[in-house]
Amino acid sequence: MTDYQIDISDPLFWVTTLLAIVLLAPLTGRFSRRGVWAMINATFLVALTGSWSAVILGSALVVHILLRAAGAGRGGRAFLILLSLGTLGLFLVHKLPLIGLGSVEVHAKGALLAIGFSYVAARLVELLRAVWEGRHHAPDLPSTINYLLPFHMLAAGPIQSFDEFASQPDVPEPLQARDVLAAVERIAFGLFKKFVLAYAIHRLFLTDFASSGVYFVIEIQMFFLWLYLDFSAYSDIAVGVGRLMGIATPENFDRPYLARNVIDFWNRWHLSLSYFIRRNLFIPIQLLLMRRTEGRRPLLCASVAFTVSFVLCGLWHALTINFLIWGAVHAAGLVVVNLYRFWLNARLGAEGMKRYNSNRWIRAVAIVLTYEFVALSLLALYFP
Amino acid sequence: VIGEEYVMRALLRWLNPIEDMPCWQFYLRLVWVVIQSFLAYVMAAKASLFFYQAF
Repeated sequence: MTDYQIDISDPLFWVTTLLAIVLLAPLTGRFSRRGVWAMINATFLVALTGSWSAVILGSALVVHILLRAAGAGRGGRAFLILLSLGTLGLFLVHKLPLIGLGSVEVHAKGALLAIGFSYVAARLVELLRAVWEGRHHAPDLPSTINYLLPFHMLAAGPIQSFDEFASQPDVPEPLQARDVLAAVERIAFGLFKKFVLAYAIHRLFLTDFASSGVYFVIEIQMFFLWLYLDFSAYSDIAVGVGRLMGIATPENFDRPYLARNVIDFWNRWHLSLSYFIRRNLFIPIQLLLMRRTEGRRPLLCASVAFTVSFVLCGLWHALTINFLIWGAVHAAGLVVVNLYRFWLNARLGAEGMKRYNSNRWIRAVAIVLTYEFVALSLLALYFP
Repeated sequence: VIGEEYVMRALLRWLNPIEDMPCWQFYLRLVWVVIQSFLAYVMAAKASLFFYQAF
């Protein structure tokens, strides 16, 4: 592809972070703060993607104009539909293989990869829904750039909801020494997880599943652990950097290895994606089905909503059969857990459920089973 | 006397920047930050991009 991608070991990311902290800290006016933050994000894009930054920032301007037009009067829905189709089109360009249009296509795909378009597309969906449903007015241009293209959330999220973005204070509380220490610790631990722990596990245990026998079993366990360390490291860095800059940055993990079933797992793993799916897929689908069936088949409605949501979740990662299978496996896990929970509830009653949930042996077995389920599901990314 | 008090207070603030945290704990945490950052810096050139950047 191209060499546009954000490299956390490259000075660009850290110089931008320092610049942002120094420039944003003394600003107390909400407009100046918003404007300077947008300038920082734009400058980062220019340094990262060169001339393609003009296309990216131009696209943000188009989004802003169309959202404003959508809120201005009649025909507003048409602008939102146009934006939705544009987002879907770019998402497909980002995900589908090259079709041989030459270097422009290669560079366009490189630029989309550099800004993490899967995450940008998810943020666009949030923004479009917020304006469509009238929960928010169309944001001004600096806010559009700041929401869609925040430099510390570009590479791998988190996917911030527009409600959270809009509700953060225009001027944050001044940082105390304790906050600074916590943020710096978070960044240092993120770097340590990525460059030391995850690297060591990768070197010692991972072979892209070319191993066999007992090593294969060990590699399955280690791959899940490595994935957690690698991904949560990025989230730690993003959250720490966000705190230092006074920019709200959502958490992405809550000790996922302690999950006692797959539903619990998705309340602890890649939280921003999990909440995105819940808000934009699961709940709307479930509500639609419940209305259609007049609430007579809640379990069936939930099962269909889980299946559609998580198959699409798999395809959000990549439009491949591997990710389709991975999504379907998780959907099956969620459906089974939901049915089991319903059956258990009916059988044990409220008191029995309380005893069941507080039994530490059951809890330990459930945690191990969940870990194994998630670890085994990752095999779908390599086989067939 | 006022000058001495001011200097002492300033000195203590520098030695113990977080009021309700013991001095030793603050510096221990700081040392751990430095160690982690140093190890990450040494290893940074060898690591690849984040897995989730592929999406």
